[in-house]
Amino acid sequence: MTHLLKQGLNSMKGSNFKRKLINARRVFVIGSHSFIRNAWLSVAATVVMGITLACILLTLFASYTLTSTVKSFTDNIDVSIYFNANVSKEQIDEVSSAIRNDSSLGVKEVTYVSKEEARANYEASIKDSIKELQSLSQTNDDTFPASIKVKTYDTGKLQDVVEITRAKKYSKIVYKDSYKDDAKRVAVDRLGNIAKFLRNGGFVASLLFGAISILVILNTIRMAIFNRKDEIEIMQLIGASKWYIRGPFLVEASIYGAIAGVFASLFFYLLVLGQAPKLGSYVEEIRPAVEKFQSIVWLLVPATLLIGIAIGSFSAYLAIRKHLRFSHTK
Amino acid sequence: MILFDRVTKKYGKKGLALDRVSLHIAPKEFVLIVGASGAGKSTLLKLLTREEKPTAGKIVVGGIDYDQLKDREIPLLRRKIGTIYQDFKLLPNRTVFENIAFALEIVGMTSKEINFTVPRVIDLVGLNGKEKSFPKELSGGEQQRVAIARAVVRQPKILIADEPTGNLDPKHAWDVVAVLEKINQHGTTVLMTTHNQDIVKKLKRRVITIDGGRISNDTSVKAGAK
Repeated sequence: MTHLLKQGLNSMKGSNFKRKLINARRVFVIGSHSFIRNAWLSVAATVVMGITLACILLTLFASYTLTSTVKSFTDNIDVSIYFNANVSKEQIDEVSSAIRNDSSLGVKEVTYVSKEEARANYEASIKDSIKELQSLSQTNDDTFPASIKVKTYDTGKLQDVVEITRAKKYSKIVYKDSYKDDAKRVAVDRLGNIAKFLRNGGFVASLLFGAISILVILNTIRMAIFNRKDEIEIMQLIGASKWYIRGPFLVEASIYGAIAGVFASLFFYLLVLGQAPKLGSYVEEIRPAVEKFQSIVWLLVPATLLIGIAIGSFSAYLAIRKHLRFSHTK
Repeated sequence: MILFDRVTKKYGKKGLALDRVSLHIAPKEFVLIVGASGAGKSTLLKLLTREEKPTAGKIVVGGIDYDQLKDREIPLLRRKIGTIYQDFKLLPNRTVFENIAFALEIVGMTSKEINFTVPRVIDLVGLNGKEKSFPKELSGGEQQRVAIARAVVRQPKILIADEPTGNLDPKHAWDVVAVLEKINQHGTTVLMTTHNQDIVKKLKRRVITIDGGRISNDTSVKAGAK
């Protein structure tokens, strides 16, 4: 049947592929003109879309910064188990093995610190204070107990570690542990919670702005469809294909997305990353995130454009489905 | 060229627009379809362009059986049939040239082909010098000639005109009819609905009269019977 119908168009020479290319170009041109024709609506839709994309970029950045900060802090969190002065190295090794061999703890590292090393470490930390050094010289070797430093992959497991060392069978060996006054761990836990909250909050904000973008673009395209109602009817009657009629609306919405993507990327790189080094002088941990985001500019900018185009064309598709749902025949 | 075999069209349960209409139109014929308002003339034309589907019966146009026609093939069908409407259906924000070129743009013709074809059709309908005018700057007769030019620019085998003179004064109505006759002389089958008895009498072409959804008179059948 299609073959028979195409025969009627014998006056139009040239390959089918070429015609399709010409049509695609025309669809793009009509869509671009429509973008310019509906200038104010287009600006509004583009701005909302730009806010959405900037929100997504900021969420990614904040999330990455905080996650890497938490990770760098977490890497330095450990618990020290101090032993009584009369405890032998073998007994300490026994405790170390008990901790290491418990697979549920996820132990990353167990480091032995002898009495001598503990004294040397302390000495190094107070080397600038003569008064303290004088006091140190009056102490004997037993003042600094031998200890083990335990690091786990999950800092929450440190409590389980100390529960083992606080067990009755080690009561004559273990002098004390550093767990109860571990303010650093509490701070990191708090930071972790903030990171989680920001990540979730950013995700919700991105979703919210995403939904607003979709609604704004959907309405913009709906109005564009309404404005071109007569033209659409004429196009249908004189034989325009469904996608020749629908295509320009998709193009128009994709243009919103692409322009918004460019502006969001510019805003992010010029303002956020441009200002980040200044902030980095106060908060050291922000630097790795800035460097990371600068190194993936080639990926992030096209990805932002693609997300913008995807949101735009998806919204237009919804509008078309709802308001341009024509059948050629009644 | 056009075959209707016991075609019925109903709107809802009671609205019978066409009742078992059978007719055959040969290639290159010029056929006038007449009848009172609501008789079913426009429905008959809408069935041809597939704006409407028949409730029953068979339609075959240029070897295309409409029963086999898929929805996505309808634009291709409409490119084969030129259509003219009483209200012209021109795009107000496009010039005469652009309105005519529009019919070629949607089928993917190149700008070179369009610039070659459109002036010839403008010449055919006698609108030389009006290429850059917008529809609102033209008289009703001129607007209808733009619509005719747009309908024939793709060289369709069939031209359907639904009350093309309905909004025109007698002088402009005859101008339009003259253009349609010229197109018919080039080998295009023309189907035209009209209320204008003056045109019907003077044209001396085949006349199909529709009354209450049925063909009450067909001059070609009478001629054949004689």
